[in-house]
Amino acid sequence: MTLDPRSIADKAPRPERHVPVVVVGAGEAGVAAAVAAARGGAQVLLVDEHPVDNDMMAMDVPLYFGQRMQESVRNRALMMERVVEANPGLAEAHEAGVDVQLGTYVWGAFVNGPSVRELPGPMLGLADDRRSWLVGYDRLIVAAGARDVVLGFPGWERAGAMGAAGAHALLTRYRALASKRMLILGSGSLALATAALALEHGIDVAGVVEVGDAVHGEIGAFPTLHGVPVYLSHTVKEARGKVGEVESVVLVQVDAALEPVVDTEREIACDTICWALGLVPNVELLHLVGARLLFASSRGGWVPQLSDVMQTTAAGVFAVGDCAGVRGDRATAREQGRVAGIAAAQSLGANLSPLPARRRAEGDGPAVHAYWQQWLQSLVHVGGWEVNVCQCEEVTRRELVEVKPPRYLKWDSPQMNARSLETILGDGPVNQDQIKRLTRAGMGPCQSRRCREQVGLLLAQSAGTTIDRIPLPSFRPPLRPLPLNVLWPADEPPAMREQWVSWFGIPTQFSPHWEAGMAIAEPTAQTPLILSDE
Amino acid sequence: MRVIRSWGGVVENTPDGLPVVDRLASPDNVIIATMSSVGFGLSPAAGKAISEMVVHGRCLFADLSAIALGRFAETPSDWRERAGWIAAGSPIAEATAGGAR
Repeated sequence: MTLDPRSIADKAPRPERHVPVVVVGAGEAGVAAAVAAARGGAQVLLVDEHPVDNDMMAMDVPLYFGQRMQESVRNRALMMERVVEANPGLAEAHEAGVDVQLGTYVWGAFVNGPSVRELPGPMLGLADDRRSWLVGYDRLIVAAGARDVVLGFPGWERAGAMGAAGAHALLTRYRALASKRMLILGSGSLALATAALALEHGIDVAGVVEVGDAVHGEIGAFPTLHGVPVYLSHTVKEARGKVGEVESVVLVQVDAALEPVVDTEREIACDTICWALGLVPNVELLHLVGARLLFASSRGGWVPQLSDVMQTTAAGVFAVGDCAGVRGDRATAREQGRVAGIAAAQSLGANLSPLPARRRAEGDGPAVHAYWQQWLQSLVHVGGWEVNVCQCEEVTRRELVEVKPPRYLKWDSPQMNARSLETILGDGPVNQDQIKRLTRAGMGPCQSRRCREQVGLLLAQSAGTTIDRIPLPSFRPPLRPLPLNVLWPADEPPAMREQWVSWFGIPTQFSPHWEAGMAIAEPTAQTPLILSDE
Repeated sequence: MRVIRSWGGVVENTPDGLPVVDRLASPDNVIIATMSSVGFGLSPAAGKAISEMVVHGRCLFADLSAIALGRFAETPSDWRERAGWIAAGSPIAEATAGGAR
């Protein structure tokens, strides 16, 4: 029996190449994993999205760059040089025989499952500035790192409001941070390290702001910070400046109830305000391959469930480094990478000496969400409810918790006005995806990187629950906002392209129901499909 | 123009590509209403037909006998292979072998 020419059977796109081990992310953990797997005899591809192009940076993807990039980031060749120079691990990986591809995004993962059975094997969707392609793999090691948690205040849309991870990347990888004077929010190890790094690069640090009444990190470990003002029990009232720019920040003192104290405002001149409250594991790729994720506040939120060798619950998929749980500790990241790299190579038949048991000294930090919640409460008390929680779609805190339809619809009805988080809670637990569909919060081009956590925290707070009880909002491919001309499948098989308007040739599909003889005893496959334009 | 999200799903088809809107004879409290891969625009009519089947036992505004489930009573269980939609022995054919009609 020949196949119906219109059937999609056997037309699934083939990967353009197959690599036994693919490692995503070339930080400490990813490089260690790639090197270990290659030394174990496996063929390894290591991809990293840096240097990302200027347009992507301007959308705060993948990190919160806050428009504080220098013009030089437009020079791709120069940025490629700098990214390579900044990461000695890349040379090490290259020497170990790893195929290293920089400036390469992972935008999708395609694996067989209950509703997909026809793929030739698991595949990743990759892309660079020009095109996208598929790569098949046997083992996938995800070392995707972490991103900043950011919380809104009046003026947080201005250029110069950025995240610590974005600042670190621009300072150390790109050497292209356009900042002269930076105010830092938070006082944990991330904040203090960011302050020290800024000073080291000749940036003036205007101060470290902490909503609590004590510094969280060990400030003594950063001698260069001596003399930097520390504002305890303070929060941000507003960022000010000429159109679209941060030129100063107004701080205000808060009391034990996180309410503003009258007449304590102070305006601090700075061109950059940097969130350094903590990091969130980048689990979007792990979510796409179906790895089970668990909530662990001490590791930054949703993290993969892992075996002793860093294997997730998804077949052949490992997670290492900050995306497996934020620890911010390079030695742990390297060790995790090494363990996963060896395990991946071993599972492919490499004859390696047995693994050392993974060190259980996890070094989990304190639970971070209560701290973020504290910051958010102070910002709500001081800044009010008319502050945007979602910049892309301009959804305010009030519109979010009152579950208002998007403003541009100009849709005002008693029915809609009666709807609120409270009435929705009557139908079941709060669900961030549902709230997104109703309000558009999180639907914009930054792919909810700037609002995901604050939307979750606000919903939890307003619903009187804790954020671990709010299900993980979904991630969908493409995981990066890629241009259509890049994502466009240039390699689509002609057989698929010719027939893309239909899935099967069903001769009777568009027959009127009153015509006799539709029921089939023996279907005929080759009868032409009736198309309306024929 | 940038793509920021996408959806995918399973396209389900009936063997003849036409809807099934029917109230079963047994058990008689079951109504089936499905389109075949397309039919979003037909949903208001389908909804009205369903409501009439519940209330009156049959659709009053149209004769839907041609889209009753019974038309597949004699359809063989390997109809997908026969129609050439899937190859015999393919993962889907294996998974659906002897499956429901």
